[in-house]
Amino acid sequence: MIDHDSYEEKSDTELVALTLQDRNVYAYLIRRYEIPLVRYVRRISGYSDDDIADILQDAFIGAYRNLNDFDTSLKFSSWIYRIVHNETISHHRKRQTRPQTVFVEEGSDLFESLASEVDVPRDVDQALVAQRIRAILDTMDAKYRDVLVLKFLEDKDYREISDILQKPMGTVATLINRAKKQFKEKVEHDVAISST
Amino acid sequence: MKDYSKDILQTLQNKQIEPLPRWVFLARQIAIISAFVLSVVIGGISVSVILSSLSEVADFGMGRIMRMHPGPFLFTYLPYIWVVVMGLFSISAYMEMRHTKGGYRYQSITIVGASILASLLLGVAFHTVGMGRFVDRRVSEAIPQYRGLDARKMHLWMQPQMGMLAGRIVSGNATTTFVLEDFSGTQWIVESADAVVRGSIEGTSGERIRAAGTIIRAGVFRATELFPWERNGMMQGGMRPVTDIEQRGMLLRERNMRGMPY
Repeated sequence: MIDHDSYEEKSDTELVALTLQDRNVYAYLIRRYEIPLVRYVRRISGYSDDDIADILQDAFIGAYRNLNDFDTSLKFSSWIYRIVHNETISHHRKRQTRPQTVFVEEGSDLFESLASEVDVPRDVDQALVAQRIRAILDTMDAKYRDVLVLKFLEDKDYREISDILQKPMGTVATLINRAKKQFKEKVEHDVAISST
Repeated sequence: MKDYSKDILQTLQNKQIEPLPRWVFLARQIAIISAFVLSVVIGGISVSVILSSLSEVADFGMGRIMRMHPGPFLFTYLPYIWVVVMGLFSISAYMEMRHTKGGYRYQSITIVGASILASLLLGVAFHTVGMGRFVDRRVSEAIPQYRGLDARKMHLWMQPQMGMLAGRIVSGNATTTFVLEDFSGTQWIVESADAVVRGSIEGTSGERIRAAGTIIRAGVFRATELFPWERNGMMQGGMRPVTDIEQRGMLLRERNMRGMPY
């Protein structure tokens, strides 16, 4: 008989080790990450629920197959985010389309976080709604959009973003700075157009 | 919210999917690291051939003899094929390093710089033990189209109008006048009475030597410096005390360089 509570309390690394002995334990890892990962895929792709389900299914099966390759010096969350991120890109390639729309939930704190980071005037955030943020993100380069989503929506630190995107931390820092600059320019441009 | 875990576990069960064994990943990492090491070693061998070539053509100030600055001289005689090989294997080392587990954590410039530095250090070590020369000869033997160090050196020393002549001693005395047949079969009378002998020259018939000097008339070459063909010969003779003839030759060359008459 499985003691659900004891599994819920175990660390990711412990669950990985236990999954290698008993496949059913994998369900605890899946349940732990399915909600944030669905949200993440939606944020970076804007895909439908069916597409997201396909991506997650493939990603979790791929992760299970490569479970012995999990590097315990990484956070499991970084590893599974990386697999899901790559699976999403692979999905774009299969469909031969880039994501058209970035999904930003109503009431998202993305703009608030970015506004304070890039020193956007306080009156600007009053003028912007989630739809406008989405429009701005849609026009940004994918590499900038990815780091903004991971930093400000997924609340990942530089090390985690480095591990997810498989880029050096210095490159991540540069990308975030450039992304913030580009975001600020687009916000200012958007405000200027709105005020005319 | 959809229950992903149920579907995924069902798929794993139905398709009998199991985690790949640990040794598969270990073997992959070992293969990548081995390929990285091999790339660095080949880069090192390339560097050793480059160093062998440059040290061979640049010995005893060939740039000075050809009246070229050292920079353009080395640039002209750089074995570019090995520079390309080194470049390719540096790129290969970079790609392999990026595919190791933690390779993505390093900046590209760090990886490329480290692999080039490792190749350079290894190249100096290989050059010291003569590997550059060895590899150059082996490649020359294996690939007829490859223009090896000896071929490049012959080309360099077959420019009597530029003051450089090489070939085999046919007859005569190396310290006064002798007949030399260059590598194209042309015979020259070489006046060497005032020449400085750089290294160990036996002066025997059939010996391959190099001479720096000037053409004084058709078929007659006045040597100011004589070298054995092989660089080893120079190294062996490099510690000899300067003889009277050499001293005279050096003084003569110095007067010549200052534009003073003989």
